[in-house]
This record gives sequence, C-alpha cells and structure tokens, in this order.
Amino acid sequence: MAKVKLEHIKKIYPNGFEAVKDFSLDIEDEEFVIFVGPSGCGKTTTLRMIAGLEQLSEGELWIDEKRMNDVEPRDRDIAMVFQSYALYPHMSVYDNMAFALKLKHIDKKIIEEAVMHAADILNLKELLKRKPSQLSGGQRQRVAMGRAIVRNPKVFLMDEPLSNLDAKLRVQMRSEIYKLHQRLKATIIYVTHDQTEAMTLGTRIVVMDKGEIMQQDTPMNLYHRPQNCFVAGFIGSPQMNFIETLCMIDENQVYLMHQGQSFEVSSYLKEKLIKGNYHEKEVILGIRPEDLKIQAVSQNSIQGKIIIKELLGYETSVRMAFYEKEITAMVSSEEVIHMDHELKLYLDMNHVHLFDAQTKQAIAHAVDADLDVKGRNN
Amino acid sequence: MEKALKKYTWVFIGPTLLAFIIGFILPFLQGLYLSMSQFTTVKNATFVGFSNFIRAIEDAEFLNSFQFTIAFAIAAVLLINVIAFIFALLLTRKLKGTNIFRTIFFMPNLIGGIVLGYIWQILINGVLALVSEPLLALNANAGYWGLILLTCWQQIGYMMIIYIAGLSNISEDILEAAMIDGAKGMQILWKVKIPMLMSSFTVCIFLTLTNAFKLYDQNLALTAGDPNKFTEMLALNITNTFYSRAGAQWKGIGQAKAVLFCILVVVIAMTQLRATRRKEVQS
Repeated sequence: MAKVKLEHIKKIYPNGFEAVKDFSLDIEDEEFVIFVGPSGCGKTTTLRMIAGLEQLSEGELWIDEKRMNDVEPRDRDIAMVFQSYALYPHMSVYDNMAFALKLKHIDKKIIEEAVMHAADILNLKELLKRKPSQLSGGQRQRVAMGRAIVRNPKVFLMDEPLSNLDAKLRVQMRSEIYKLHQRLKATIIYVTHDQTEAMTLGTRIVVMDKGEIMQQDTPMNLYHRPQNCFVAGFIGSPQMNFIETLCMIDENQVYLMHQGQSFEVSSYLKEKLIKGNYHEKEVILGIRPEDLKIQAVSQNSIQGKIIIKELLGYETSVRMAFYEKEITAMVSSEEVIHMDHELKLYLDMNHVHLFDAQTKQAIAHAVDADLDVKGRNN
Repeated sequence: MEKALKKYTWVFIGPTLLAFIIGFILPFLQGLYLSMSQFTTVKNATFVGFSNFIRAIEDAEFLNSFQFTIAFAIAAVLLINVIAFIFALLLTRKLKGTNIFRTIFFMPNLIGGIVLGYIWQILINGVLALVSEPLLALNANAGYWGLILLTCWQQIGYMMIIYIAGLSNISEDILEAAMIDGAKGMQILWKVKIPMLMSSFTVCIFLTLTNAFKLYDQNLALTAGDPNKFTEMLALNITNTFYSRAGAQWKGIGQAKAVLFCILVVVIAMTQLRATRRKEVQS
C-alpha cells in the first residue's frame, strides 16, 4: 500500500472551464479518504487525474515518492472500481478478475490462487464461470471489487461504486467495503455524493465544491465543527438550519437578533463574538434539526406553523414556517404533532454554530466550549 | 388488452402474409417446379425431373462462374471488412473532421451498381491504356480486381457506418478499465474491442458475403463476363443461361441454376451467421 500526495493540482479544460482549482492533499498509507460533494464539484475529475485517465493541467501527483504526472495508468499500480462496474461482458467472472494478471504474463497457478483468494473474500466462488450479463447488480459490483483486489494495487480508487444499487443492497455493500478496508489495510480513495457513505466509511473526508476543497477532516469533526456554511449545510441530514441574525454587543451582554427576537449565546460564543468585534454585524446562527427540542421554555426558542411532517420511524421530521424561512426539526415520533398547528422549539445553545455572514466562515462552535475550558485548565 | 389484440391477430397479420405468399412463396414454389421442367413460358411447362440440375452441374460455364464467384467473395469480404473496420477505428478517434470523412466514405453507396460499373470501366480502362495493358474486355485479371475494387469502393462506407455504431456502443468505462488493468492499444483492440464487436461483424460479414454472391449490376456493367465469360459471376451466368441461349431446354436449366444458387447462398449465409453469432456477447 502507499502514500498519495497531490500538490496544487488543477484541471482546466480547453474551453477554459476550471474543474479542479488548486487541490492539495496528503493521503497516508492505509487511509480511507472520501471525496464528497455535489454533482460537478470536481471529485470524479480529481480521482480520474489520480488514475491517469485525465491529464493534470497544473500541479504534481506523487504515489509513494514517485512523480506520476506523465506515467500511463497501467504503470501507476492502481486499481479502479467504476460506477458502471465496467466489467468485460465477453469474459467470465474468472477471466474478468484474471485479466490484469494475464496481461502481465503471470504464471497460471499464481493467477488462479489470486482469483480464488479474492473470490473467497467476496463470496464469488460459485459465480466464477458466469458472464456479467448473468449477474445481479450486487454481484457485478462484487466482481468489480474482486477485479481490483486480485491486482493487489498500491491504491484503490472507487468512483461512486454503490450508486447503481438499490437502497438495501447499498447499505449491505457499504459494510462489505468497510470490512474489506479493515481486512486489506489498503489505501482507498473513494468518491461519492452520498454523505452517509462518506460519514460511515471514511477515516478522512474531503468536502469539495466548485473544484475547491471546502474542508478535509474526520467525519466527527465535519459534523461537529464545520469550517463554513457549505460544509455545515452539506454534512448532516436533514441539513442544518441557518438563521441570519444581527449581533448586538452591549458591554458584556451579547444578543443575536432576528426579526425582533433575541437569542442569548453561551459565554464561550459570547467571548468569540466580542473578540471578533461582531457588534452590529451579521452573524449566521446554525443549528442542526436534532438540536431543536420541543420544550416549554420561552428563552432561545422560536415559534411557527407546521407545514410538513414526515414520519421516519423512530423520529419525525417537522418543517415549520419561521418568518420567511423554513426550519426543520427532528423530534421523537411519540410527540403528537398536528399539521397547521403552532409549534414552539427550543434551540439547544450548547450545540449551535456561528458563521460570519460575509465570509460564510465559521466563527465558533458551541461544542468547543468544553475543549476550550479543558485547554485553559491544562 | 391482450385478448383484444388476439381477436384482431389476422387483421394485422393478414395483408402482409397475403403479400408474402403472393409475392414470394408462390413464385418460389413455381420456380422450384419450373426448375424441374422444360418450358418457354410458365404455361407450357413439361416436367422433366432432375435432368435440369444434372445439366446445370455439368455446364462448364456455370462451374467457372461458381469458382470465379467464390474467389471474388473471399477477397471482397475480407478486404471490405478489414478496410471498413480500420476506417471505423480511425473515424472514432474524436479528431476534427471525422463527420466529413464519414459522409464522403458513405457516398459511393448512394450510387447505383450499373452507374458505378460504367464509371469504373472508364477509369480502369484509362489506367490500363496508360500502362499499355489489355483493356477490361480482354483482361480477366484486371476484370477480377476491377470488380473487387468497385465493390470495395461501394460497400466500405456502409460497413464502416455499422462498425462505427458498434465501436461507439462500447462503454468508455470498459476501455478505461482495460487501460488501468494494463492493456496497451493493440491488446485493447484484440482482447476488448473486437470481442465486443462480434454482433457488428456478424451483420457486416453476412451483408458482404450475400452481396458478393448476388453481385449482378456491377458485373454486367464493368465486364459483362468478358473476356470469354472468364469474369462471369453466378447471377450473370444464370441470367445469360435463361435469356441469351437458344433452345427451349435452357430456361429450365437456368431455373435449376437459380435454385442451386439460392440454396448455396442460404447455406453459406446461415453457416456464417451461426459461427459468428456464437461469439456475440450480451452486455
């Protein structure tokens, strides 16, 4: 397995469109890195540049200390799993998996051992004689994985490998891929637009938008400490609620005002806002749907009419009108909720996030208060 | 819905079936009968059994045209398909101007066989005169290669379009997967592209093979079988037997040759279809 280093990589197409802008990333050995972002954000283009299927317009790519910019895909010692699986339809499952090794003129016995080993890992032994057209979507996906495993490459590249599967199979295959990483201890770069896949599989997630890295961090940090509004909105489902407020600092009192309603922030956030000199500046207050509670508290609460409720089983997603905005909350499904009725929700201020309305960058996260206290005590 | 459709089955099938019976089955059966008859018109046929077939097989001109047709078909099928496939590979390379070339290569197919035959007769005779060689009417070798050249010129564009359609159907992902798996250009061609194009090969070889055996207009216009019927192909030989020979017996013999010709084309075409279809893949 190997380290992958991307230095100031750019992809500019002949028509001038910049698909990837100054992308730098160090991927450690055995890491499971996920590129996630909306369609057209440049994640697949970046992966294809690593594979050698796209030329780099600028920057340098290194795999295990070897510069790969001008190296052919076949000489990069990588394996790729495609969204469409890209199996050779005229070959049996066995031949599909053995193809790369046969091209290298490796001894037949060694090829057979490698194929049988991969087939064993992926439960493909009974399907080896079949053609891809005789397989289900899940089986084809496993064959595509098997084809990659057989080669024992330095890096596995996976381009949305689960997107063509139905929801149930996707969950099953997700855990299969997770187990595979644990077993192979491989360096994997995985592209997806599905944040659940990103959160459950990745040891590190790179969130991309419009060809740029918005944040790269662990799944927990992305969720609890988003660096900007884009990441805050992209990670988490339903997505984070944003309330535009005006920050008012009066001596040591700090209020966030929205339509005449004020929210009182914790002392940690208060300190950050005073330090940042946010008096009379616009601040975006972000709160996740699960941090809005139905509680009879008048302070730091919002009220509005319920416009949509969706029973999800354990929880109910409630959307309510709050002035010109829609606010989503996740509440227990045991709560009795009536459409068109007024609902009062309490904002758990220990879990709010503050963003600069101008730069959209994070000012502070309420969850960091504990860390801050610990840090000071230490 | 299905029941209602069943009720009107014969309304839908009837007209086509009737046309097929009147236009194909009845003439075919009558042709079979006439091949075993002596006749001058279809109404005065006298049954003579298999003697027409025996005389057809014993006819030296027929055997010569059979050999010539086989030799022509082998060269034409090979050349047309190889060149058409190479053109298709070149014109699917995402280069500028490929659409113009596709159109240019396809255009000869729009010209009728007789016209093509006369055009190439003038061209080939012009070249032969330049190099002081006997003209087509006296040069069997030039006639053979002239026919192949003409057929290639006419059919390569058409077959090329079928190969282009097949090549465009191969998913880019599969070719990229092969590249990552370590395959080089020629390995991708032989191990991925060609096996995946078997359905295109089936169609193109079938068309070129049957076209080669049935070739008539071009043969008539370019060489008319000259010199001394050396370049006479099967279809032209059958027509000449039927219409150009004196004596009542020749119509029956011509008809017998036509039946033999039909059986030959069907057997060869079906054998080829079976052989190549087995190698086709489902995606």
